Amino acid sequence: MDVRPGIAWALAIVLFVVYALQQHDVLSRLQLTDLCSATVFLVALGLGEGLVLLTRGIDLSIGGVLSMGTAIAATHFVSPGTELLWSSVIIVAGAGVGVLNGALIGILKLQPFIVTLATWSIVSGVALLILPIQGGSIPPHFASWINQSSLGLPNAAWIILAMVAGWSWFKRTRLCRRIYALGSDPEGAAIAGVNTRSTLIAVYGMAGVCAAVGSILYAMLTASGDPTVGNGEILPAVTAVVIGGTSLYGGSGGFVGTVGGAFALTLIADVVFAFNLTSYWQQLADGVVLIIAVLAGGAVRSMRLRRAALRAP
Amino acid sequence: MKLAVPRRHRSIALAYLLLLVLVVVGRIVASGFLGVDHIDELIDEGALIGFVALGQGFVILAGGVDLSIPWVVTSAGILVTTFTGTNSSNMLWDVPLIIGLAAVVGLINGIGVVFLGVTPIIMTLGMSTVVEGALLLYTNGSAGGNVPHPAVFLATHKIGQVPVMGLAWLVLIVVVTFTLSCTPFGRRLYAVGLNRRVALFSGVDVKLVTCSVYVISSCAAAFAGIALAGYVGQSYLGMGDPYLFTSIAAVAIGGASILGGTGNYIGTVAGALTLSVLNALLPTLGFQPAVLDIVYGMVILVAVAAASLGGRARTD
Repeated sequence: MDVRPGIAWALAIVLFVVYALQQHDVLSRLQLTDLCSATVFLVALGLGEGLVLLTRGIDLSIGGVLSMGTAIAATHFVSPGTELLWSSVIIVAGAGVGVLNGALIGILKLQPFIVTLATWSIVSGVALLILPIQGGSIPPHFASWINQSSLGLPNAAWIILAMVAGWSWFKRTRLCRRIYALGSDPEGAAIAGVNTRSTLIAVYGMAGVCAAVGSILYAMLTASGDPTVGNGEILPAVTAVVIGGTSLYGGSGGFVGTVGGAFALTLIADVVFAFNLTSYWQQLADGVVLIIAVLAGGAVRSMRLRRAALRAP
Repeated sequence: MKLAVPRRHRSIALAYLLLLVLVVVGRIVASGFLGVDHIDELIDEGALIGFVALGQGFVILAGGVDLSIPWVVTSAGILVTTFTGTNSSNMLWDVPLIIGLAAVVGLINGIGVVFLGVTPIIMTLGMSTVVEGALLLYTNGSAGGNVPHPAVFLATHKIGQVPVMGLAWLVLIVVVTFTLSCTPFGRRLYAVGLNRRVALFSGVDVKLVTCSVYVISSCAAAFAGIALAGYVGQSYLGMGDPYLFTSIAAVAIGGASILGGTGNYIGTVAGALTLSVLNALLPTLGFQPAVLDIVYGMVILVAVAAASLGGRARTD
């Protein structure tokens, strides 16, 4: 039984309790809806980033895809028909960036961080060409959906639940088993017949799609576009995944912890706000939390390796 | 026809050839491109890129990457205006203090990477946000104030027709090139970048060398930040943002392997000047500045593909 996702959820719950004690109306319907809609885009980013981390990679280009997505949304969502059309354009563009990453990493065997750093730069440039400065607008009827409820639950919560459901289905697929195999032992997986190339292309492609979906959710949340917003969201996305117990060394972890990690990060911002501290504390906390989580993950890993070494004959 | 340059200097020669081509294109499309004032401007902006790329180059040479550079540049720029203001005599103390603070940031990066085993990308990404948060807390989110006179002198003054910043860069180029090619530290650094394990077995203090490149990187970024504040005459949040991609792209154009172990600063200088010329050229060709980001990305991709495919061919 892996306890690591539990740690992320425990952190989120502790933060939530602190927040609730400090702020009175936290348990109100409105506040809970806000919490979900502020977190949902990070959950989407974390879903994709988590898959990449499972393969021992990293995807920095999600920052560019997030910026580009909000830029396209803010300039092209003008009427009900166009929203669906351009949402699919955003998703296809995200998938395209991801597949390009995957091809360069899987087929040419280039290093993930430098490839996705380069595509991050390229896609950021495209975002700035589409929308040079922060602005544009999302039609209110489309944007407000994220803050509404259906069947007694906030729509944002439904999306998170849908992603969790999707993950529990995906976990049983052959592709997912290949991803874990590739991450825990690349050479062994290749010998066992895992097609490294197509698996990596699929993983980075999915990360691109997740980032694109995240960008649409982010645009709904802020009701506008920002061609540089993604630069600041790479770190939270990675942090949510790492707090959630997914190892940077690949092969272990999962999405359930990531959801807890994403909620914990949103709640850090809420707690900072509730104690009347400036939001700058949040920046500091995000960075520190990432480094601590990575160190803790590394410590757990070396402990396991040592135990495994002791057990070996 | 065979090129008359040694094989290992071919990529550097290529970088200077690229620079020459761009300068010729610039001369053709814009009549004032090679005017003395414009050349000085190109050198100044090249120097700013060159300062940042110096540090990034050391880190890349050792097989890492430093993503915390943009906020170190911004912090140094903002601190030099808020600490010192117009009172130039303060600068004597403040510049060492700012560079010292940057050294602490670099040291933390180095300790995280070397002793705690955090991957460079995660460590420097995390530190970047920590530096950003600390700066915002200290300044309460406001930038500004006056740029002290010595920084302005460094960044904009000319001796005759020669910009002071260009001269400072020249001194740095000599020092860095000497350090890399003629000192034990330089040889150890190449050894670490080429093969960490072999370097360790050869008696190189791999941890010390790796740690020191992050300190050098942060100090170089802080120096660039102070010079940048002098150059633009003010400081603002996000002033260092462009320097992440530029620093890596300059190193890549200069023919250094993105994966570490090869390259030298003479190549990076060509890379920095190339980017400076490109920066000036693209608007005159009718491109938006955002196209530069796309160019940086392409350059980095081509460089990493060349480095890793070339490296594979060598070992096969």
